[in-house]
Amino acid sequence: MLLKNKFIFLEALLITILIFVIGIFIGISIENKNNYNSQVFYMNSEADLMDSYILTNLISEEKNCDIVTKETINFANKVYEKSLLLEDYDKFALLMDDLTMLNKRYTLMKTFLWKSNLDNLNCLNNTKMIVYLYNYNTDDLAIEAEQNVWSRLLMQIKQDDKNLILLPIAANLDVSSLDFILNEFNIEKVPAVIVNNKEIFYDLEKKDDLKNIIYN
Amino acid sequence: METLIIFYFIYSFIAFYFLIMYFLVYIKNKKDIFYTPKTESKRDLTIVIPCYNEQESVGKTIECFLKSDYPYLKKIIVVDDCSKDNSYKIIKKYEQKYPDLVLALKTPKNTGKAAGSKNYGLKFVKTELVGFSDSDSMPKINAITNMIGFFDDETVGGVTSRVLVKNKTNFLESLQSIEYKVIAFTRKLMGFIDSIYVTTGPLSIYRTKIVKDDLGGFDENNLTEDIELTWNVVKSGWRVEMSMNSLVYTYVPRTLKVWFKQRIRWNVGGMQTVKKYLPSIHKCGFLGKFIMPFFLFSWFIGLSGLFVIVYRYSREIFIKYMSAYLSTKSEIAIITFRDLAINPTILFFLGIILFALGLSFMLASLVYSKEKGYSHALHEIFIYSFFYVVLYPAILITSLFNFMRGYNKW
Repeated sequence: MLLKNKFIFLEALLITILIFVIGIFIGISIENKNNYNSQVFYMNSEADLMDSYILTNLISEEKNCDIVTKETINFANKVYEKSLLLEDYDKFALLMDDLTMLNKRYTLMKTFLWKSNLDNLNCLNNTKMIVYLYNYNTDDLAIEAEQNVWSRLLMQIKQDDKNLILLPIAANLDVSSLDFILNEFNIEKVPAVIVNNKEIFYDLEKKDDLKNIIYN
Repeated sequence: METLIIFYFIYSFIAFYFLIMYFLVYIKNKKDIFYTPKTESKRDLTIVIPCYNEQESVGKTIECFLKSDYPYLKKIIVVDDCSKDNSYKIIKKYEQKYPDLVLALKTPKNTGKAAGSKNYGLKFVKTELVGFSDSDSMPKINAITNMIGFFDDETVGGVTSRVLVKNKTNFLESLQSIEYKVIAFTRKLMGFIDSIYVTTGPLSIYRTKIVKDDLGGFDENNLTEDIELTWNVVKSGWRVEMSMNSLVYTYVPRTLKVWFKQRIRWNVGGMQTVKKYLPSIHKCGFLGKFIMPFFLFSWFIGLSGLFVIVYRYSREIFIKYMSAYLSTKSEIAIITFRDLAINPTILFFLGIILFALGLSFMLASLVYSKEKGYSHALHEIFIYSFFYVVLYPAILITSLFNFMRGYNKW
């Protein structure tokens, strides 16, 4: 072998390591940025929740249901949008740990929102609401497929009506308060969809049929 | 991190390493790629051509060797392995026409493999050098002359040529033409780091003493006797060179079925060779100590990764199918924009860089293997890059299966 080629193996190794170190650094930076964004979203949502909670308490005394309803819908919409974003970040997180803890905190927040709505049923009586209970990171392929269709179906219904409150809640993250509410509703299995805090669906429905049930 | 990602990282690392190594070899040696040592030595040469049912091409092959400008080509031995067609008659005619130069031989009984005919012909070789060719290969007039100079280096035991595709009439043949150019370019680069792992069947020349006396000829139990012999030569302490200026044209399979069968044979033969030389791999220079273990490791990782990918994609396909079925039942869209959204990940970036490097390497191979009056269409390069190479895992798995069940049929 020629002398000039003698160290080629080592040189190639060093360059490859360099590319990988840079690549992994970029990858970790992207995921850190996503993690940071998710944390910021969560903190904003938490602040919004506090704000909404205080406002609801202040104005409910005056029985101003319009403002309560408007605030609740706004907040629920924000949380829903951030949940979708979090889902994307979670799906593309490869190098760092998944976002289970953050999902759990969002679940808590959504449970709190649901509970507040249940407490304010008199005021929110005309507001349409869907609670979608699903499994976070399920291994069951049939359940995953069913959940895909449920989320797509509910998303389409939500897109048709901005005032509809849609709360997708991960039901398997060991949140005691959520488990308590689910017991109250006698939820037998997940995925399940609770429409207007009354009717519970375990099997997929046609979009139009479900819309009829929601709005009638 | 999940298993698939770990596999992907390891496999990418190996792929990056080899590509970068090739690029470095290329950068440092680009002036020598077409270097042909001039020689004053007069080394007598015999060419041995095994033949089985090649009545269409064997005459053309003999003609090409007869036209060779190498003045010390003393004998062309054509060994017919009891063909069922008129091959032997054709060979005999050439013997009658050129009695001093052509020798027609017939094996006592069909040996079933090219190695058998080559060994039979080798018995009749009395010159310093011996070359082997296939009966459907057509060397250019100066192909031999451009190889002989390498033997002035006393450490060189064998020299191989650059093989190009003769028949480029259908799409599969054109794709193979690209592949042969990439292989030739890669082989030349590997030659600079003493890692040529095969001296090709269409035309390779060796010192007769090594092949005939020291090594006892070709291994008739191996499906790729040319790979096996190369390893044997390297193991014996000799170096192998490649001459880029020695062009040999060969016919490649016209149909996918024949192509697949040929590739299985090549791969099973490669596996047989690796198995045979694994205990003495440390004696095979850089080829054995470094390149082969790396290749074997990447095979292992590649195949394991493939199983993980197949598992993952089967899951995905099942979920997509079920989702589509349930979506239809629920009367909603089967697919939405959200399903198509892609977030950039590190794997995505690595994949893009790896693909760009691979593509550059392939284009460099094509540039360095220009054929007069022939250029590849863009769609051929596209199909080659995206689909043709993707078929290799299937070949590898089938070959591994055949190797494990002891497949040894030509």
